[in-house]
Amino acid sequence: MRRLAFLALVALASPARADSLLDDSTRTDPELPALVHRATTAALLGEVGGIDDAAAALRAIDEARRDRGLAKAGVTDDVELLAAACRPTRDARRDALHAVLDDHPDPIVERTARHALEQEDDAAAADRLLSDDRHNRRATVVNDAVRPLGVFSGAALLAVANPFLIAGSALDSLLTTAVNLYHYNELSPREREALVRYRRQLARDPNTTDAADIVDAAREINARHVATLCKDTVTLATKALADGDLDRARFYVDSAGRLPGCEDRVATTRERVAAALAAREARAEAARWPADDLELPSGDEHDDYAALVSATALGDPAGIMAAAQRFTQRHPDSDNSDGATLAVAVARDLAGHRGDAADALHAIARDKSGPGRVAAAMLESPRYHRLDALAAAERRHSRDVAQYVLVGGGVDGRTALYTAAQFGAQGMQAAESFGVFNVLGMVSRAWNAWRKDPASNQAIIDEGEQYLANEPEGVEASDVHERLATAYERAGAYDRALLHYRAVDAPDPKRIEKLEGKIADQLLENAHKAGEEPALLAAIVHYYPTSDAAEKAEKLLKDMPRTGTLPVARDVLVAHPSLLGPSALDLDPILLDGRTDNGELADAGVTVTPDALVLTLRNPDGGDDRTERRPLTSEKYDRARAAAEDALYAAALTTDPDAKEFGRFERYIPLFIAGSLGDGGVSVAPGIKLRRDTSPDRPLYE
Amino acid sequence: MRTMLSLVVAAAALLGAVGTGRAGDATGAFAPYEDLLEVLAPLTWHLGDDLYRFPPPHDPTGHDLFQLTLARLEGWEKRYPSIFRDVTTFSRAEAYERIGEYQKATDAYRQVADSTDSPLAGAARRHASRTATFAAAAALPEGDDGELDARLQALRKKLDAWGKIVEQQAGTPYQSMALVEEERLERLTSGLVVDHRQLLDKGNQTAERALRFLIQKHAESKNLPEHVLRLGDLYADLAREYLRTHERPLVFKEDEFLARADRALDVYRKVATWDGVREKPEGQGRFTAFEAYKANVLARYR
Repeated sequence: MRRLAFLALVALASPARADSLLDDSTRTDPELPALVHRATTAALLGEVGGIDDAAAALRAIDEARRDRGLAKAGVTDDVELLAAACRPTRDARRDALHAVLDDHPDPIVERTARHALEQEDDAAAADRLLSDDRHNRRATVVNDAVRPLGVFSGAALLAVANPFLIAGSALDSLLTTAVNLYHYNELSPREREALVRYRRQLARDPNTTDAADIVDAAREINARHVATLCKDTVTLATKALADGDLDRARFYVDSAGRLPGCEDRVATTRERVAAALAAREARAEAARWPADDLELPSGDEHDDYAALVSATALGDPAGIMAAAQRFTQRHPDSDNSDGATLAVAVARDLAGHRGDAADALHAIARDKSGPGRVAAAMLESPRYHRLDALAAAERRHSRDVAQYVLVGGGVDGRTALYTAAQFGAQGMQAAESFGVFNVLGMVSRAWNAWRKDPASNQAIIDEGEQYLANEPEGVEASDVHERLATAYERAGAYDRALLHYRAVDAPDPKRIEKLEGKIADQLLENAHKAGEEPALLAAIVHYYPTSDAAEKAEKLLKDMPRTGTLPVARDVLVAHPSLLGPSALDLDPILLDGRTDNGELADAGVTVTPDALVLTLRNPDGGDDRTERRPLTSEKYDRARAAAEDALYAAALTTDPDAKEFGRFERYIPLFIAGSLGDGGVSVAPGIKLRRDTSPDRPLYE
Repeated sequence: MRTMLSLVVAAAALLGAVGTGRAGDATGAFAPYEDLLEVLAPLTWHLGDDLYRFPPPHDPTGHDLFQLTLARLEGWEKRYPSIFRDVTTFSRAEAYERIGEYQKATDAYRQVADSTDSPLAGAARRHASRTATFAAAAALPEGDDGELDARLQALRKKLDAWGKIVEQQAGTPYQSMALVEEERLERLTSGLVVDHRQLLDKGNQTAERALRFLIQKHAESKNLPEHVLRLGDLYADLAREYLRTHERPLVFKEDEFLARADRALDVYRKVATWDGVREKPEGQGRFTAFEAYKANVLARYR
């Protein structure tokens, strides 16, 4: 068998040699090149009849070859694809493509034809999108209805003995189904893409026989699209109003008002926004005037008070202190003594004694006077808050993490439902089983929390950054830098963490090294995502040379093909035997015959470089592979490179990037069973498979 | 052009999208013909495309089909320099024409026209005559180094030349290529007006009119969302300019700033909610950024 395969390889690889079986067979059909020429010229001239004639003649040749016991020539499917491309209407092109696919063409023709059907026949693609969308909506309703019934956690396992236990699951299932049905007709990204594609189809080819159906479908989706846009805009306005962002709310209200048919829907929100804007304007107007009526003191007090006010207006700390002390000494029982204390606080603050200023403010902050209210407001401001807000944010964060580990992501309606149902069934006995089975969830959550912070660090970051913006050189600045470094590190922003940690008074070099390692790991991950971006890899090696990531990056850079070189693996050579021929790499087929004694290419295959063809050969003695360089002339290099690139392109074209994700028979099984150990404990549930969204442009429809 | 195929192959290899793959099924010496047919079929599919209204086609790996076709044809010619030269040269000319390389297209068509025994010679002669006109218009200067007036004059002259071609090619598939060129020049012209609006009498209104003209005239173009974004940019600039000239708190009028800012946001939002267009994420980004700017300015003056 191996020998036969080798013979076929030799024959395929040597079109110029006349002594092979297949070349002999080729010689028997000398008219084939002329037919291909006729087909290609007809295609370029747009003469469909000419291509059809050539295709018919090629089919006859294939028939004759089959009668002679020979393989078919193998170009008929390509000519038929060419003929499909030249059909004048969408309907004719689609029918011709289906005919090509029905004839089991070669992989390249198949991929090209499918691509044409999926990407270029917009109406057909839109139909498919809608069909998938309908399937997924139904499957989601069914899956969500079944999932609660399939949850096996703790006492639910005893449902067989006590049917009352599944009451919670049944109620959850019912409620989820009701919610899903309520949202069933909401516009999905798939429908939005279908609408765009229907419109494009009509713009490209309005004469298709499906035009009437397309128009109907597009009109229906468009009506829902307009309604959704209106609804979304009103929702944005309502949310902005709830957040107190009246400028945003006003913008979205006006925006919704300009959408067709949206005026009625936005009317209520518009009124609420108008009322809120009026209230804001009233508040702003009121804030421009003093809250208390001015009562000027009389006699001596008047003069001292006027001197204090003048000194305060001038903003000189010494002058204010002197005037305030004079006023207090001369008029200890005055109604304006709070005002004098407030002036003292201002003077101390201006002189840089913020702690003393805070003491003065505290002294009057509880008084129900104008200066007392001002003092209280000043103490509430970030200027006097110092690190209180930061500490509070850190406490909130710790509490959130503990809550996550102990009770999961918060008590929602579903967990409450199950808890109530189980307590209803078992009373206090349920607590024991909850305890046992919740341990699993707790351990899982603790593990998750250790690996990735489950709570937001944003409040800590905001407070810390605000403090540093106000007091970059403050005495607590180093402490704040360190606390920020910790928060940023937990949030995964290692570069910011390092920046702050370096600003700490005495940073620990080991922690700096650890942070640098994390940054390097992150950069390496980004480089992987960007297709091994060389600039990122080089940056890792340059800036973080001692990290593990730098070692990996260096290796990747080393293995990267240099400019002008093109590696072709052994597998590719086996799959594309024409690469061995004289118009390509010009290699002897014995290099792929499986015998190491006469030379055998290793898995790395060959590398085409501008001056040589580098062969990686298996070592007949069983050691490391060895390399052999064969000099290439410029002309040979051009030919070899062109052939290698074409073969690699064909390989890329016919490789299904998703193939690895599917098991052999997986695509034929419509159901799945999912089990997980998550926040809620152990869960096992069957479901209907959803159809994957393969649109490359998904973000453009969300 | 070789780099295009190299890039595709390299990108596919790096993303792990190159397995061993499977070749076509042609037997022995028929393989070269099969290779050529595989290149020509997708090209032929898109020869009639309206490149003005719709984006240029892509192959199944997501790369520009015309550039890829050119690279593959050049590779095929290197391997088989003596066969089907008329077909490959004619095909290259078609591809060149569709990426706007009219002089190269003309040269290639003329080569085929000279080979009198080719059935493509007659068509090549006709096409060469057309692409020569296109190439002559494309070669007219755009006044890149001159003053504003000189540049506008040069662009007007070039626009006139393309306008005539658009009329001449009305009703043919080639009109779309002329429209692409006309749109490009009008975009350039409006861009110049916007960039130099401070030098022009009633510059802001003129710039707005220029962009609105572009939007209305090219309402069917694939680039319409981009033109709309540029109008949004102009409005955003006008809002920023208002702030620059009314920076002091007592001269800053909130309503006037809001009117300008909301006009920009309104235009950005059109693109941000425009399904299926490539500029949608850009519109979303600009909307968010400008909204933050607006909120920041208002907070500063309240």
